[in-house]
Amino acid sequence: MRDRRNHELDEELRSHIRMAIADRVRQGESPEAARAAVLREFGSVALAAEDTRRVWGWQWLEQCAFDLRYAARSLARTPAFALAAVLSLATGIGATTALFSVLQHVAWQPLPYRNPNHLAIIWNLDPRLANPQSPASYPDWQDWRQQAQDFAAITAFRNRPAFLRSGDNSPQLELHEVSADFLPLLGIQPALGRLWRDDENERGEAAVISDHVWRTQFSGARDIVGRRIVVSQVPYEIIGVMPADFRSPSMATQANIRLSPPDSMWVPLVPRPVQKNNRGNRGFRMLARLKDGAALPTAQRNLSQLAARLAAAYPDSNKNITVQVLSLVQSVTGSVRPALVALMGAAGLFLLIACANVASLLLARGAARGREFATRAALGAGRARLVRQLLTESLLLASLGGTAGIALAAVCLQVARQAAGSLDVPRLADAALDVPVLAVAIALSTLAGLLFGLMPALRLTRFADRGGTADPRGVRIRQMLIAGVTAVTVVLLFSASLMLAGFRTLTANQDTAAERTFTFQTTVSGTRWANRPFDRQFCGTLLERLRQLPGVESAGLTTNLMQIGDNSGTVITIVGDAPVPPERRPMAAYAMSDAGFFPLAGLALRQGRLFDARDHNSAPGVTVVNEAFVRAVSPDTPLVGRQIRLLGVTDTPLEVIGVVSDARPFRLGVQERPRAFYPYTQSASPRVIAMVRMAPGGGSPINAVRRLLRELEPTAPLFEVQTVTNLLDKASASPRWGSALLALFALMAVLLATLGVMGVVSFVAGQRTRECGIRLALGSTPAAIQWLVARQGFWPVAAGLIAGAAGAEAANRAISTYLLGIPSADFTLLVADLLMLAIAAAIAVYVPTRRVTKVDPALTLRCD
Amino acid sequence: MSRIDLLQGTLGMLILRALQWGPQHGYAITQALRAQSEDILQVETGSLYPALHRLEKQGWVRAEWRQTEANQRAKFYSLTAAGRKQLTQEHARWKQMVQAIGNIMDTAPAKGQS
Repeated sequence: MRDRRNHELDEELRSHIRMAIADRVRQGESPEAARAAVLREFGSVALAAEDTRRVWGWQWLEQCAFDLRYAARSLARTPAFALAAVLSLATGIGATTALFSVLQHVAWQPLPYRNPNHLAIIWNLDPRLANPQSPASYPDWQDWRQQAQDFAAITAFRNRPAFLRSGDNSPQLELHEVSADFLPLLGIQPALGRLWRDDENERGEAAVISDHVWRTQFSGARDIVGRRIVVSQVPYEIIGVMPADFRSPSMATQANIRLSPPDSMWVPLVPRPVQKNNRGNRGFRMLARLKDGAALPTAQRNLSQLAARLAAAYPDSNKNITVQVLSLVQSVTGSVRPALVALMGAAGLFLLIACANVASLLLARGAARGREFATRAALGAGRARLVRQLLTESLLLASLGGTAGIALAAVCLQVARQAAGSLDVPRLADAALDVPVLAVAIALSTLAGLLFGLMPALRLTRFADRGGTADPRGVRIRQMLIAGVTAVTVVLLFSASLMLAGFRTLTANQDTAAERTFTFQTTVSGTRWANRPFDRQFCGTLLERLRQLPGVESAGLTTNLMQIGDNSGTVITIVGDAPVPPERRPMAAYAMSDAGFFPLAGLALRQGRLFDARDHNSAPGVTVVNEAFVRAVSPDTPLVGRQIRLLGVTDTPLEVIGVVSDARPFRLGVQERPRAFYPYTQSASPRVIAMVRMAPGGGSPINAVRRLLRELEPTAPLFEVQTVTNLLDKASASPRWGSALLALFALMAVLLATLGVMGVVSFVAGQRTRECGIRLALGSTPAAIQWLVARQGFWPVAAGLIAGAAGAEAANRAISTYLLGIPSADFTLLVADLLMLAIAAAIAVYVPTRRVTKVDPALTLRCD
Repeated sequence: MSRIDLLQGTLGMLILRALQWGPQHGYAITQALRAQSEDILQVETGSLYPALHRLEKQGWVRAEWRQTEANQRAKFYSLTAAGRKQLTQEHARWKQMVQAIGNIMDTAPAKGQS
């Protein structure tokens, strides 16, 4: 378009000249004379064309295009610089963009329910628990429902794995028991069928299934409504199928709310009498909808007052129990949000370092181009024009970096989506490079371009006003940049090493036998084994047969893989001790087990003995506790031989016969809690987790286990089959990825910072070569010369290290609070990081300064 | 005969006027203005073409490539309806201004000012 107009204008002007010449020739002039006269009269054709083009208003664009071409050429002349700048920018922009996308989809995007901002989770806070968030009891729920005015509805839910009986297989699905108003509260109707009628609510035998269950287990049959199924030995009638994308809020672990897995089924919640009548039995999660116009803080305040009234009225169960109202989206993503924000912060810091480095490189390049700018200024280019051209260069760099960054982000997000299955990050699979994310990437690139471009541009063109060719060294500015970069790098490096150290404690000394230790779960509830004394027999037989399987080294049973399972706890009292007020009574998790379980779970016997044949059904009740239990209950006096009571677990007191070591935590920031184990021979559970350790080279026992189980009880499902290594990996996947990413950022930051220091010092060295030559000639020693130059890099690095150490302290507090859960007072890490950076900086300073000591004074003095 | 520089802002009006009798190309416009002003007004080509393009951009003239009588390709400009209206307005304003300037310049010195 523009080319055509240019061409037309050319032709128009030429036709004008042709006609003028023709006229003159017609009047009798010679063609040569006519041509000369016309051209003289016409003036500058180019100027006329230029003036006309200006009328079109494209001049600005044209100048931009010119600047762009010029910028591209000048970048192409220094490919190493361009590549370094583009790569570091691309990494920074790509990482920040990818993490922004994750954060946006995981933490910020509203949940797919009607009015999702009005949805909230209500927790009880129990100060006795390590994580105080606890579910609510039925009586409390009813009181809240009747008396809390800020909520349109308060509904209850709980969920557990269950098994669909279907031929030989027992596919696992998540069974959600929900109060009648739970699904209507979310505002989602079934895609097929309907929700419960009142009479069905009371019986609880009508089920709504998820779209995925419908498609995979029932082949998407249209006549699904009305079919009868058996789930975990309980018969249900299917009355509805939820829409394809529907996922309800559900419990992931004790205090974690997630979205339900694809294989889900919802049935009416029918509380048992023991739950209805016991205010201390807290087993229900609460999903509430705020009334229109009600604010969360007000609702929290009013409900707190209500909780205080309940605590006063029922001190035995409710003393010191408070409430917490959290928005649903915060509950779902609460635990990963700080980690993601921290990672994005790290990526942002890295981008900042990259910008500072590019700015510093641009300054160095600009100094070398001083003559060019001076010439252009002398030829009449205004400062604005020069700044614009330099800015065009940096924006070109930024957009190249941004484009590569977006590509990088796309790759990162692809990887993240694939890893979503193994990471405990809700909605990670939704993370994508969509329009808002792209907008952020473009904004980031532009911002980065201005950030690293503007300062050098203004700085480099300042001399133009002075009209001389004075050398703008800009050393001071670059020293400040170096100090800043060093400080930020210290913070990054320290955060990364803190995370890695925390993570190391998780994976250190991992039992090499974990790889050949398999766990699986099964349940016989609803079968003939479920009642006493058959449940004991089932456990005993299962254990015995497992140990007889070929290749099995040892086997054990439990009801709770400690670090992973539902860590419900109960109140402990020591028989014979003075009564403790209820709010100060310690709590412990409890689990059934046998003696074989302890070595398999890595729990070493510290005192007393484990379970053995003495602990049969008619013998006095016994228990084995862990060291955390001892610390919490009786840190000073020996516990072995004392009698304890576990409220609501056993009727009779249990004698403590042994103390085992604490289990290694699976997660960052989780401390082992008090635990008590009781033998299956005295109190068996129909639902068991078995652990089987194979002899080295023993292979997988799963097929043999499946056969064995089928012989014992054909309807018993086999599920959650995993090696302990898998379990550990799964549990530590998120912190592993997080620390790996952080470490990557930190290493790249160190690299960039080192290059930055090197750049500045070698620039200074180059600038002062002559001076050094003179000093050498006048008798200065090479060492003194070297220090002269090295000083220029030394001070900013030192200042940066000190500032960074202060920043690292703040980072330490943040990371400890949000990610590790435990404050780290370990300064050796910080010192090691500072030392490492100092060494890197020393090398970066030393290498370029060596050059000045090799200067031949005679040569320097002679040159120009 | 000395030539006079054009008054600021009048070139557009003159071009529109020159086009009133039919489409013309740039060269013909300069010739017409020169002839009609009896060689007093000389339009610089350096101003003519920017002015023409400005008029085109404002929608007062329209351009098309045609053959001249001498059978050469040239860009012909013609008045649009908006251009015709503009010409009338500018002409009226011009007449007012000439009148006003003439009133000032041609009035005899006031009495008592000798």
